[in-house]
Amino acid sequence: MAAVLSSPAPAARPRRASRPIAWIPVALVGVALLYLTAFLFIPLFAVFFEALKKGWGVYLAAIREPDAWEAIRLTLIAAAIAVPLNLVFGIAAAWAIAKFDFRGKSALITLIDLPFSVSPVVSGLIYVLIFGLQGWLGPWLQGHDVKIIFAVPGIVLATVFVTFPFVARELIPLMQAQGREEEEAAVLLGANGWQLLWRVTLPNVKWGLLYGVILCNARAMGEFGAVSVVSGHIRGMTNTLPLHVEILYNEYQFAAAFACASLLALLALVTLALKSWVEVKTRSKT
Amino acid sequence: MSISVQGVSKNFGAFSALNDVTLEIEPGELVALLGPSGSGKTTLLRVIAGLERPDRGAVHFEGEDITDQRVQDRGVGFVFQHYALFRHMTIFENVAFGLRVRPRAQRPNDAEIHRKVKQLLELVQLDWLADRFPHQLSGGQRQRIALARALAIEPKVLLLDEPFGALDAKVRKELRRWLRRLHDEIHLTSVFVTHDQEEALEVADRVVVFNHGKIEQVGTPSEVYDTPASPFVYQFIGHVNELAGENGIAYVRPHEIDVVERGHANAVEAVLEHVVRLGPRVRLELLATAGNTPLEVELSADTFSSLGVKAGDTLHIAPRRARVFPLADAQAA
Repeated sequence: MAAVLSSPAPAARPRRASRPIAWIPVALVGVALLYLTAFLFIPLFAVFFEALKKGWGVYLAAIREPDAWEAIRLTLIAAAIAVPLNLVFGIAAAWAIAKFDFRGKSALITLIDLPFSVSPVVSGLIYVLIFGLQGWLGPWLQGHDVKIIFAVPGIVLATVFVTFPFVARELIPLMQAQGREEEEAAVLLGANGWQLLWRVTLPNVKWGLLYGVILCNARAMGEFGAVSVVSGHIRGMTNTLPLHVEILYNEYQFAAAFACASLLALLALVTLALKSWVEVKTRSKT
Repeated sequence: MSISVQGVSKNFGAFSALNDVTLEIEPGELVALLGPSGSGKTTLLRVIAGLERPDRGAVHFEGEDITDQRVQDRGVGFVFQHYALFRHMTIFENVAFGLRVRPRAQRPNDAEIHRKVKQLLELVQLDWLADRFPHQLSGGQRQRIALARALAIEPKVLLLDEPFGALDAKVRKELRRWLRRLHDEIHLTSVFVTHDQEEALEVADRVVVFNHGKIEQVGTPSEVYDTPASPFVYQFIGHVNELAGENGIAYVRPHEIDVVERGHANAVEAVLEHVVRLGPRVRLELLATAGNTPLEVELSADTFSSLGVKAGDTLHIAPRRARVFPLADAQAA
């Protein structure tokens, strides 16, 4: 595939003869490395170091512990619901914004960004205010024996809210840059709406879509603030992995806390690796 | 298939892109819509295709009103300026697209699709590119593939929006000759948009000249060039000199002016400012002594050398043919 796709290398351009002063790039790279070491590499190393300080036995025990296992399960459930929902929403919103003109388009774009601009705590709080016992719908929900706040549905709702911009944000500029002509061409050739979506629109944005999903998933699994407000921190019931880490830490179970934290750190590393792989793929395609 | 455009108007906000346009296109004709950018020619093409809905008026194919028909059902072949090939599909799949998206009952089987696509790729002389992707092709090749793709659905009419606009001069020239030949072979009613007068005059059976959302003139290439219907057409097609007179403004083509002896009837005195040699032709840039009006005269190189004049000389010139339009018309252009 790559061999077929690689276009002939552009002719070598003449380099500029004058070189900038040699120490500037060295200094800049040095500063960047120092900064990264202090704020990224050392903490990342510390997570794994602390997690494994008392040996593999303790590490594995901390992860196998039922409450931890339950937290992992809940985190996966929340992500498994939030990511597909936001995938569908993101595609729909991006398609509408990039390919059609309608009133209130800029308002919609601003609204999509709302979860980014609002503090996660506020994101959680709005659900407490709506569905909580003292909230608008609280009494009615209680009357019908539906639990949302301090239960799994609340956690899923909060996760969906904080992650909904990712896919849409990734797709909108991509679709706008690609324009409407390919879609127009497809319609002129007789394609209906579904054929348009599956045969033209989605294949054209598949790498951007995957990129958005990866970011969305990372955030869905790592979200702390909004989920913390609606969860109620009931062990083995409404704790996601990030919340579980906090509880363990507050109980001075450092090795266990870091063991669970290392799982999240691993997720981040896997996400980064996937993200770079998608970036390489995207570049080779264009 | 004949196309009839009846009283079509289209506004984009406050901008009037088409203003009560009526046009009849005969079956098998190759018609050019010519005009400056923003004159409404592309909008008319998109209205015919169904990509834009007219605010008023109707479009008929073969006498049938198709104004409200869906784009998918019109059976229109459309070629975009920037090709709009499906970037993630091979050339083969691009051409096959229109056949593959047909409803199951009308969809040809795989063997039939293969045969048809191959035939179309041979028609555009690019069958050896079937497995490539669009970005691996040159602009001229892409445009020919776009044409093959449009023809795959056996369209009733073929619409081309600035089909050669994105190509360099040489490829452009080749491609328009090729389009003309292709049209002579398949006789499909075709409409193409261009802002290039040379292209319109060379390729089309009839030329429709647009300005400000209205049709200025419809005619054969020689009609619009030799007997322009308005000052705008004079100015837009070919070069023209404007000479202010008592009754209005006279329009004279540069090649319709002779250099004459002093005392000749209708002679105008002018100073030769600049001589531009264009191969076998020579363009003289002059300044009329009366009124300081710039003038252009075009002569053959032989005639010019027999005159023995040079920049700075004062000459006398006389139009062989001129057309006078009232001042109001001239100002409207």
